[in-house]
Amino acid sequence: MSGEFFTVGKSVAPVYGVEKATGEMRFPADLNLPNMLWMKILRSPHAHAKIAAIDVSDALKMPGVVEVLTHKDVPNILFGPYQNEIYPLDEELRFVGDTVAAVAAEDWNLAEQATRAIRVTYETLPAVLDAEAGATPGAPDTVLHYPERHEIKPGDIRPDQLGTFGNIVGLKEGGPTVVNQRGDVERGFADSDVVVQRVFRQCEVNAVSHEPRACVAVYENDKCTLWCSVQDPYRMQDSTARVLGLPMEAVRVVSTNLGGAFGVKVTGRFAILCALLARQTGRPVKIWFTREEESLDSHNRSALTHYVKAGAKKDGSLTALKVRTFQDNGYWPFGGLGQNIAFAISTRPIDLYHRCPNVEWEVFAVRTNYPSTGPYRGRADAESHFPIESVMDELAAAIHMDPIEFRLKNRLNEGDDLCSAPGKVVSTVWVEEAAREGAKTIGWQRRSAVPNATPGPRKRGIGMAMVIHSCGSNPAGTSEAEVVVDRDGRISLFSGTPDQGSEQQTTLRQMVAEIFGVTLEEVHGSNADTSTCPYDSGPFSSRTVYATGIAASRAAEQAKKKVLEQAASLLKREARDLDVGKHAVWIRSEPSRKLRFSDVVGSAGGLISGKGIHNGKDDRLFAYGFAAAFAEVEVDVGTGEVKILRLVSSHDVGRAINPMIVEGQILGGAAQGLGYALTEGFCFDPRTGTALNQWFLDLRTPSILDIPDIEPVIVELGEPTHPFGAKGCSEISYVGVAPAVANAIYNAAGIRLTELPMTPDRVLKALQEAQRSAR
Amino acid sequence: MINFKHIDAASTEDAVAALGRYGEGARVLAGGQDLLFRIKKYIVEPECVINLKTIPGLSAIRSKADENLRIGALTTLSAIARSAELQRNYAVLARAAGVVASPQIRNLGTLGGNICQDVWCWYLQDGFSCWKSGGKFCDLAAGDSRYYGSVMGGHLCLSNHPSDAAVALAALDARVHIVSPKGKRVAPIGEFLCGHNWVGSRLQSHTLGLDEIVTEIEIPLRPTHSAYVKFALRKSWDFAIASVAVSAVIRDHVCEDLRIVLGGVATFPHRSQEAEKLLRNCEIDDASAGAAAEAALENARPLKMNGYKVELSKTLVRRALLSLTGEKTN
Amino acid sequence: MDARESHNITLKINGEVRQIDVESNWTLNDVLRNRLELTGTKRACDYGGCGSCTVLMDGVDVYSCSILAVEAQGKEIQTIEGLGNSEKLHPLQKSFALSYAAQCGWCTPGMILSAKSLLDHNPKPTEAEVRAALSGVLCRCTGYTSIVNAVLDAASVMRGET
Repeated sequence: MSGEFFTVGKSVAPVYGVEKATGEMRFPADLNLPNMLWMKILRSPHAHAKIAAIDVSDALKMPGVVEVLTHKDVPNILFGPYQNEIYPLDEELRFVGDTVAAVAAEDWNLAEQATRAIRVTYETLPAVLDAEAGATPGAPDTVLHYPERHEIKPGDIRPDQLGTFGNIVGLKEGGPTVVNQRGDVERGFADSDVVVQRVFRQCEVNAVSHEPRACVAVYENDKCTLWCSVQDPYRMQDSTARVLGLPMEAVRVVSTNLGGAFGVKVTGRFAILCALLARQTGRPVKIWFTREEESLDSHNRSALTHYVKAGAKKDGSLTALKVRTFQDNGYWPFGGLGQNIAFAISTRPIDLYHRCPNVEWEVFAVRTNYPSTGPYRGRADAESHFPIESVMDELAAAIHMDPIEFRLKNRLNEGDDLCSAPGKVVSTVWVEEAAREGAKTIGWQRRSAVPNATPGPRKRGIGMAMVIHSCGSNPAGTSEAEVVVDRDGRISLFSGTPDQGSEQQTTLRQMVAEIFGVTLEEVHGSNADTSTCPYDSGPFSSRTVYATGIAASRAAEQAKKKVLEQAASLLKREARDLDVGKHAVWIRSEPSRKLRFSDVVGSAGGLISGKGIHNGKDDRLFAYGFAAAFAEVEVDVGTGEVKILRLVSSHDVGRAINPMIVEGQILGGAAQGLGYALTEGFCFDPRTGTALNQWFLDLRTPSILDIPDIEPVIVELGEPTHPFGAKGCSEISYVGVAPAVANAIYNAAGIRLTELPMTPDRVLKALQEAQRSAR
Repeated sequence: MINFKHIDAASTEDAVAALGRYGEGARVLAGGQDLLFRIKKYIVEPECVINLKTIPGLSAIRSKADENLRIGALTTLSAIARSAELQRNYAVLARAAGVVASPQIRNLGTLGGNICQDVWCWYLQDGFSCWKSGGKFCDLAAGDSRYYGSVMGGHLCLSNHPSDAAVALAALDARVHIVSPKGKRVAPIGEFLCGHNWVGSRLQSHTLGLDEIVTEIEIPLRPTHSAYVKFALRKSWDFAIASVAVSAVIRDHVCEDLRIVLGGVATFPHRSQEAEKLLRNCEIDDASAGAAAEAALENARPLKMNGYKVELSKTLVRRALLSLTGEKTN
Repeated sequence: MDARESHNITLKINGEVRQIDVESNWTLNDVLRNRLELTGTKRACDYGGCGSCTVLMDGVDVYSCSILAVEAQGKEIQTIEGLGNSEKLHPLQKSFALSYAAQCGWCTPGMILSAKSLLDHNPKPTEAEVRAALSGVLCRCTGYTSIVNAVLDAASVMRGET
């Protein structure tokens, strides 16, 4: 498919490659400014407490300690990454690790030592340390004092809108929970030939971005600049302006490159407090999170419990799906993005299995006194596909139908409406093609129809899962882009979206290069600087190649049009008689009559600029991505070890703008997915709410010795809503891995694991239980 | 980090004299791959750190035909893992040293430092009760013991001894050479590592006095066959969830002498003489290996969440023993 | 609060002899990043659990976060900046830059230096040997395959084969 294009479809070297390989790329943590102070945060040791008294005098007495901020010293102005719902500092502390105070000192050790000299008297409060328990009437309140709203913006949830549902984050109008319902599940079960019931539990996990977030703030002449590891620099700009009482144009946020983000690096207290300290001290201030802070003061993927009941007929029709999910929403007073994630959990797999007539999925997003949770790679899909794809396999086995055929029989088609994005319908659906290609690659026909077929203690099996993910349909963001052709004929793309390692800038510039008929190296650009780059909601929900790509293409087309029009007037022809390529414009029928871009732009008296916008809310037809994950495992029944022999990840990507980058994203997502499946997860102490496994090694992200060579399969069948036919793919490779591995384990050893991670102790326990029930 | 003094020791006498001066306020720094992390986490707060790497002559592997193998306490784990001599004749030790943590840690981490490591228990942090940090009971006992809790009981602290090398050395009857201002002594490793014990106000994982350092490890056994099997969640960095060191003298298929030591399951390397007795003067085969495995874990008293380690360890014992004979492991 | 203690140390960094005042509780990583502006060496954890702080010390790959600066006295340190820069890339840097072996970039210097340490004494490693040599650096982004391939490609270039 790539043959028809000049640059698009080629695996050209990434734009930031050299900077990363030489260590020359500067992240906020790498900035050391003259006269800079180091900031450190004092954190709450309690899951729920009030600051009864706080004495910073000992800290301030230490030589080299310049300033300490407590909740008494900061503006009582709300801000937040999703809603305005937290203060820079609060008297009420709502999780172990919550922000108590902030110190600025001459060096990093001193700042840390100073936090330990702050004396705090805490009044501990009852805490909720389990989502299901927290949803039960009579449970303690996780939030004692709802923040006072001084200014409600459109879209903010007001306290009076919140239901009196205790800790369940809900809206009075909608009720305490999110419910996706159609048909009649009880009748569906009555019509079923087979019914399966299971409880699934998924551990809370952290993104473990390798760069712990950092912020350097400078406040001078009533202007504030932040170099800051956030995916949403414009939200950060807005929040900083609000809290500091500055006009927007007086705040500049730069977030060009992030060392991994995965959805979790967003506007937060760390940066707001950094800005406040910069203002207070008149000096640059830097904060750089420790690993523990990056684990706990980030937002994690919720811990979840799903109660699932599913039914099917012998002919392979899914008849009913009933799920009750408890989602640990962490401490967000107004829920953060919890309701939205709850909505997506209850709707996305239902979209995938559109043909199922009877559905009832109820999600309780429950506020707890744990770290905040929110979107992390595969938002809502990683949360929901594990139980559904496990149960789909069980149903298929019960009716003796091939698991792939069973899924495909019930799947959605192009043009179907979407319950995950009301008012929208799905564009292309190449899930069948992706599933079949993936099946071919792994050799699906080798799979034993009967589980537990390998003799000896090392059992082999193959399993799969099918996955859906949107390219940013809900919440649908906005992307603006600008393409500028300057007096030297240079083409530059200005985009508001930070690059978190996905090399989106490469992909976006390839599209721009294609439109102008130049190579990638000839397109320059700048990104994620609020002073120079136009607005972008940020690289979330696999929307960048899609939505920002559309915006960038529109901008490039508009700039190209203006170049052509200017050239047309110079060449005294119509624009449609002209061709563009290699920084030049010529008359198609007389190629020797040519103008360089520099001549064209020079004659226009300035820069030529084109702008493009993509507003996701406006589109009725929306692109969704699909994938199928296939795992071949070996389960050692003597030790409980699950070895991944092969992992195939097959993707409907529409078109791979840069196949090398697409494959890299697929492999990276699948590798992370293996961590979620087998080794990662927080163990919280249920009495105190403290994360027990805080050493980095106890987070257990996979090492180079734990991951096989994952096999990416790319299916390119186009996507008409995108100028180059591309869809996003960076998250979806994560989602299918855990259920594919669970299904492979079942095929290998005849045991159904329902808890993530699927560690050896759980495998051994399941084997023992299987042996006991066999007797 | 806290502020502390740093002293480069010029000799062992220098080091132990400094230890004597500072008492509990001092910590020795060998490879630094353990102590520094504990200082950063405020698990230990020394007044003075004494660098042992500046002492000459403590990092050699000395192997002579008519003498016991001797390894300097400051020999790096990498050097031990790489040594052709050790790979050939003391595979259990070379292998154990080679699976500690990661290459960078092995490049600096020392044998002495590795066997003197304290526990990596999750409850050794603020907010929990831990005997090692002034508490009066062990929160691990009824808490999340799935990885770091003992299945063989323990005295006060129930957290496993984390060292791979120590398990291998226990399977080689190693003797620990120790120096103090009072002179020298030699402790068999089974006495040096015997669970958690009080030294002053410190509940230590070994029996070094406050003013003592390890200078050398001496290995009297010369096994004909040995192996180290480690089971962990990840194949890099992770401490053993369970491990087994076996060393044997096997002639004409018969086991004349044997050591079986379990790691990752007890507060010190757990040697099972019951299991060894079953195999002495026998051939190692499926049945005898299985019987030995059962015997090795017979006295297991798992905690709430680590019972699975019993079956797991039995599998590892069986497989480690069978690997000595080159038989296919089951 | 105990008094701070300072030491004057002399060491070689990327071929240049440097004399610096360091405090007892500074790590080599602190000194490289915060005093010498060599921020190519990263730090993702500070506990020897991630590898992104890897440097070569006397030719051996070590974690700079777990070395006290004062104990780097007399040592020869090589950081990523000492290997090459955008004007003159080392073959390892080139193969990482031209492929997608660096995604977020945070593990890249650690991976490259670990690879250099390997290739210095084993110019023709197998894939398994590459993985073993790099097993002290975690990557969260790539899934490792592209990194292994980049190292094998660079090794081939360094042997003059391509």
